[in-house]
Amino acid sequence: MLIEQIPRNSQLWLFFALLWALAPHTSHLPVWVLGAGAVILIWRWQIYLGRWAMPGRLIKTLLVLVCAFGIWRGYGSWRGVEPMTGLLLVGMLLKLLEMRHRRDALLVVFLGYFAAAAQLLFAQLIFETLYCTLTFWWLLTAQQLLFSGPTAGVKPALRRSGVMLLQALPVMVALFLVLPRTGPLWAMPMQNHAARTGISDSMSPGDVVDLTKSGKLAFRVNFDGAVPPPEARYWRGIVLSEFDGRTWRARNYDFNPGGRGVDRSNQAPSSWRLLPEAARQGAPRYRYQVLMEPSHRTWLFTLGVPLSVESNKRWSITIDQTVRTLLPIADRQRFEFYTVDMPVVAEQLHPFVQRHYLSLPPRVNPRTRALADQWRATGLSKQALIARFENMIQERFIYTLQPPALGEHSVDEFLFQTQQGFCEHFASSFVFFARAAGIPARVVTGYQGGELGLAGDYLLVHQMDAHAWAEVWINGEWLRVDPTAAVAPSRIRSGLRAAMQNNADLLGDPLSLMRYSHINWLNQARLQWEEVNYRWQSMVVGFDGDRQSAVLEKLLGGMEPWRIGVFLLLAAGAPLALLALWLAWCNRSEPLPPLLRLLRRIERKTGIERAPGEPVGQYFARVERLLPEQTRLWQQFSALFERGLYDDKNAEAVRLIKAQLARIKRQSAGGEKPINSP
Amino acid sequence: MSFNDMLEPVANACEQIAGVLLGKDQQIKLAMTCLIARGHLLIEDLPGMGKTTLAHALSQVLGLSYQRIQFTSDLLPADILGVSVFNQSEGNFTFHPGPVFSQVLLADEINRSTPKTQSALLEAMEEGQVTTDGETRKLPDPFFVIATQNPLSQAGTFHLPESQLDRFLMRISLGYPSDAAERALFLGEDSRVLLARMKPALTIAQLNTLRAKTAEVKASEAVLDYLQRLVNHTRSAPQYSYGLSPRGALALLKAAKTWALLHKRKYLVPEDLQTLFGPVVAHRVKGMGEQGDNQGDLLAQLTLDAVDVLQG
Repeated sequence: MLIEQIPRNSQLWLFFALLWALAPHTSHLPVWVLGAGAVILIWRWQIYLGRWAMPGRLIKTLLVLVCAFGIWRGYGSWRGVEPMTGLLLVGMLLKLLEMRHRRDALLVVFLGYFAAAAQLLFAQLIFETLYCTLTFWWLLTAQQLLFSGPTAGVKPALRRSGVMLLQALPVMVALFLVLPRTGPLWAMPMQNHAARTGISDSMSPGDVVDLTKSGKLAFRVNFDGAVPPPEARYWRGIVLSEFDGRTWRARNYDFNPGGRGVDRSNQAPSSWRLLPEAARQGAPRYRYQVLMEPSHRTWLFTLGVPLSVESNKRWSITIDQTVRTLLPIADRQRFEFYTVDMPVVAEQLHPFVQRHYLSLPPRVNPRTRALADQWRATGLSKQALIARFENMIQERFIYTLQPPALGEHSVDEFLFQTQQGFCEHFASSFVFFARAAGIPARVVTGYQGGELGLAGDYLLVHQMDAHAWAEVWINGEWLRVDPTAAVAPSRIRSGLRAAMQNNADLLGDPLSLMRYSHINWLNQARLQWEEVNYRWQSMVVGFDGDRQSAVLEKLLGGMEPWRIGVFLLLAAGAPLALLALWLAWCNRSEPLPPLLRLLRRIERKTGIERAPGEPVGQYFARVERLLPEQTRLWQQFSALFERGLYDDKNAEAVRLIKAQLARIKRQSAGGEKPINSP
Repeated sequence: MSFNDMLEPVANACEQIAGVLLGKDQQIKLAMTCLIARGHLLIEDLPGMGKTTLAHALSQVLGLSYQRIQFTSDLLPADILGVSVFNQSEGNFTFHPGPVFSQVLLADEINRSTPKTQSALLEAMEEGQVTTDGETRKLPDPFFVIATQNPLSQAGTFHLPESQLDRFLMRISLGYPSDAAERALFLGEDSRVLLARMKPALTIAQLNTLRAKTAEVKASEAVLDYLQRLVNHTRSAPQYSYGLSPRGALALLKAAKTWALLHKRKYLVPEDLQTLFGPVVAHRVKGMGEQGDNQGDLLAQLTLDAVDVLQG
């Protein structure tokens, strides 16, 4: 059997292409696998340089074990997309150490294609798609180089593979349109501990500050109608009512002891209307679509109380009037909300529930309790107590992203010593105070604000807009109280960036474009990019089964298999047909030069054909021998053709020969026969 | 100077040679073309066909110095190039130039000598100079080598390798004379007497003018296309084991231009290429198979028949 060697130049390119394909995976590969991968790559590089030999069986086994352990250790399970992708990548890397012949290299290239495609399991933004396309290009080039000689250049191979990709484009578009959207096939279990982003169902000191360092998008909102003013942009998400002295947690929703509330869910993906009659007259209503970024959590965020929710995901509404999905949001999801900006109504609270909203951990924050008791003893109303608390913090407290650390009695220390804090401190201490003062209260987390998009009709809500505030139960309604607004009104009106203008370092990651939003053109570019991504998301990634059927109905007039078959044939065939036409056009025979046309005419008239290797002079000499009556004419022709063809007298010769031929024609019309066939 | 004035001496020279070498007008013209195109001539024929006579007559009518070397298997390079001999009276080495230092050199039966000796001459042909004892000496100008060679089937010959054959612009053969020419030869005077009587017809200045004029011969696109078709055919047709080199193609163009000039044309026609194709190309190409070596003429004819003169 003939075993081909791997051309050296292709190896270098193959390394490059593989590294390129691997790069996006480094973020989720376990460190053990990364280490083993580095060893493999270095080893392979040394093999390439001719310094080291191929590793022996022992070392290979060892590497396999390390990688297997790394995957098991890093992901904790073999199930799910990540461990399987990891396995694929590890296989690809390990194969490098066995790559001796072309067929091995081909296997590596093919694995590379899978690695590139696997990248799209994790993200499908336009950047990832372009990156993946580039990966395909590099790999295709490497594949070509494998079959070229050892001196073949990369540039021509790049050009060829680029052309191949372009040729595949129409087929790709056609397949994109008609390929069935099989949901379950892609709904592979993602690892549960996949990096969750955004607000969680517990709040410890520092949680929100961490979030504010992220310029990542949380969700995008498109409004049907006017965008609400900044101070109305409270995106309600999670209600936290259990406090252990340090951390606020969401209540276990399985427990629903009486009280008025709704806990219903849509059992099938459909729209479901909720309490429209309960909506308060005159309260502002908003209809909007939310494009939720993957958070790997189940919380959704609404402006006020939801009246209706539409989605093809399963969701439920809690008794706190917040919306949750059944499964964590692992990819970008679209939700349509119709909400009313009013407090959650709960006319009666069951005493048991009231106790829950008044409960405080024992023996913490005695000073705050004492203060609450003291104020309460003065006989102030609930509203007045709240106003007094707000006044207190407004006068003395400082809003900062770098609060001092707090000890055991966190609320006491905050209220009476440090007096510097962030929304979570204010919300937390206020709720503690309210409960101590006998007002049922709870912490609500979500987002506040949002950045107006380019067109002005949508909002971009980022992680840094994360916020915490409080709700108190007064007169059968959960009223929103935001102590932060009292301390730092600019945070509420113009967002965190404006509030923190003076120490922009706090806004995290220097690479994040958000950090530079005060540079106008850069900000414009960022928003523009968000817009492009949104379009990509809604037109390409969001092209689901429903939209597919709609488009196909419109395009093909039906969804029958034969229509789709014909469409595919046409889509793949049309470029080929165009190519064939173009090639035919390129290879069309050039029109004969005039002199050769004239010679053809003479050949036809005399009936004497010129042999291929016979020059014109010899041809006419032969004609002269065969048709001696016209000797002079043939000699004239001979001289004219010779000078026309070889002495740059083309035009003149054409003219004279044409004149001669015309004269002959006239004569033959007059009855003479100047040219006789032999 | 008109064409006629310029070509008159050439015609005269050819005429004189034709008086000695009877019935070989075409070969005489080819030899003259070769000389004007600064090429060297290889004549391949049996002994006694008039090779020496042609060479001698050429040098006579051109008024050039003439030397003849009879190549044998024991001939050494120094016998051709010359040797340095110690001069006792002056106490130094004095160079005694060999026969190569002449204007027309007849290398008779070149394939009888060993490759070493052959190559000594062929280097001189290519470079126009000779290097011995570390000193380079220019050869006279014009320097024109006429080599003769026996057909290769004869015993005791060393085949000239392809690279050295390539140094010859043309290879021609004289062939047996026609009956009439042979009869005239029988009746006529001794060729030695005739040679002695020949008058120089062409000065070196005139020769150089002709050479300069050659460059002005026009080659139209049509004729260059034809040349390329011919060359490509030798390179792509299955009958060839290898085709014509670019140097060979250039040689063909140059020789054809000279030929056109000698026929009083300022432009090239395909007939020029066709006439010179055999002499210039046949010894530079090789056919397929065992007999490939000697098929040059056959191949040349095949190409001329197969390639269309007017269009590709």
